[in-house]
Amino acid sequence: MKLSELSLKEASQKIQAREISSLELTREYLNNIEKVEPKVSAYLEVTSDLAIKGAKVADKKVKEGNYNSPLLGIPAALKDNMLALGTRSTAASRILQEYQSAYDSTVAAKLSSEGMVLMGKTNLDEFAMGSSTENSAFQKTKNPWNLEKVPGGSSGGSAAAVAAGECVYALGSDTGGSIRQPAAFCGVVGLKPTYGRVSRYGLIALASSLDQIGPLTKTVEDSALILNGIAGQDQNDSTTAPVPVEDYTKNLSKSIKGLRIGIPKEYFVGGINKDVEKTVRQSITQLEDLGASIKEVSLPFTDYALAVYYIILPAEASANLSRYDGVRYGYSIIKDDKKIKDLFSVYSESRAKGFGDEVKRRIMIGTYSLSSGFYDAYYRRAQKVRELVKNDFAEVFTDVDVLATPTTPTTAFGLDEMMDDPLTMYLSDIFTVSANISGIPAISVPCGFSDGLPVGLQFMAKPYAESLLLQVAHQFEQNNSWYKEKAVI
Amino acid sequence: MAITKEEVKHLAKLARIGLSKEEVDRFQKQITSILDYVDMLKKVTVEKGEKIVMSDVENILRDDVVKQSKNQEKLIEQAPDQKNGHIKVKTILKKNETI
Repeated sequence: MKLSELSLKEASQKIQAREISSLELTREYLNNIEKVEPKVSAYLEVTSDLAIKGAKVADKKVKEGNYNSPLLGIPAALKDNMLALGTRSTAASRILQEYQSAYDSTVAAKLSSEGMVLMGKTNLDEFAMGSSTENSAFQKTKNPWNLEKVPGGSSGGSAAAVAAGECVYALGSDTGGSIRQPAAFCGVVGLKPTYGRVSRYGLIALASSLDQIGPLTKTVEDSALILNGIAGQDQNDSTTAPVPVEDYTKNLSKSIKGLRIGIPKEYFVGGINKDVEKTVRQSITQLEDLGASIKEVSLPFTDYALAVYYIILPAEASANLSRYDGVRYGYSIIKDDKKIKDLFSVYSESRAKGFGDEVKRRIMIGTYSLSSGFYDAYYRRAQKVRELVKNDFAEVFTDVDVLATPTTPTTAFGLDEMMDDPLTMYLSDIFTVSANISGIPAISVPCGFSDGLPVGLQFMAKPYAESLLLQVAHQFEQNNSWYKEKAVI
Repeated sequence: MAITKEEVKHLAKLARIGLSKEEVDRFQKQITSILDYVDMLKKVTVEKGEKIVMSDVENILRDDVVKQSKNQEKLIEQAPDQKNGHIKVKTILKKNETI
């Protein structure tokens, strides 16, 4: 097996046993990046020097007998909306093209203290707005399984980098499915933890009541190991919860015999691709064979979740993105047009040139739903329906332990296929948004292929039940060999 | 619900985004189709005065301690226009001006 095909767990065991050095592993990944990156375009910035330096520090630690974490010396990538000292953080937007991270995000600081080797920053839809990574202002990332397809989004760069063997693991952010949907499209594992489980400090904000950071990995066990490293309360993010961090690997090997798995009937109607449905149904049968009891359940407000999302997200985004004003940092029109006279024009022209279409669209929709006269009809109503969606889940989790659904209605679609029709693009998030709307944890694991493209199976659980979620996902994964399939580029 | 071109221009002004004529035309159609979609929420019966809860965690408090920011210079350095360690902006208030 090539070094670049090792899982995080396997690689860390070899580093601990001194079978390989972090420097060897890092060089192997850098070579691989050189080979496949021209085709995949997953990275916006490859930080080779930082990586080599980090690997040497890790090797020194191992040599001195100070091996302290399974993440020590492991090459990783961060989505380019997370600040990390020594890197640019562009959020794939022209308005932040030159922005140097002024401090470390909490996740970057935590992973650095665990010995992460930072390989670079990955591509995304501008400010994480999108489902294909095509809204990046800089480049289009390709799906490693088929270079004519999108990798999904918005964490498409992170998902593609893991699938193409350009890092052992990557972090992404998930506001409406942005970790799980690209994980499903690229055949990797994507975990969105409970809202409040992982600090968002230093994450360039999209929608603050929905955003959550999580790992994209080759296996479920890897996902648990990373969550161990990044979870926990943070003084710099007051929405992180004072809930103790568990060892998320501790239940992985437990059988799922007797667990109650709910299948929400609303996730198997209209619009879902037949092959995807068949693959997911076969997976559900397997869960039953593993001893789980399967029960059909109902989440009546499912149909409204996406509409709620497309009011709340733009509203919060329009407020969060008001900071890009051509004055504080980032791109400013005053650099290009010395004649610009008044402050209003500095704002509006900097933003006109700095933002792409999708960002402008969502800021305007958000401005609309928050403006006087429309606030009650849109924003306030959406918040109330949000509570109803949340109640659906609270109720169903008194009856079942975990929910199983398809992650997406289809497999990866073609590049440029949906760019002219924002609403159709939005529909690819239809099975993932509810977890963000209600703040619950969810994970996507590979469960088969359709026409050579990966299909994802999604599990959801109640708040802070990540251990249970990872256990079910791990048991399913290990009963199959889908996770062993590698994209050939 | 259809949104007019005038409304799009007004929103762009509120949001401080300069738009070309072509963008106004395009965004008018796209925003209308998105608003049509979210209009389905009007079918849901919601109670008046029903509470709005954003998070299950409330009032995370900390001691109010003054801390020195370590990277003030670094932050100011990123401003497009600066003078003597301050961020420089265009005149905000002028005589007889209305915005």
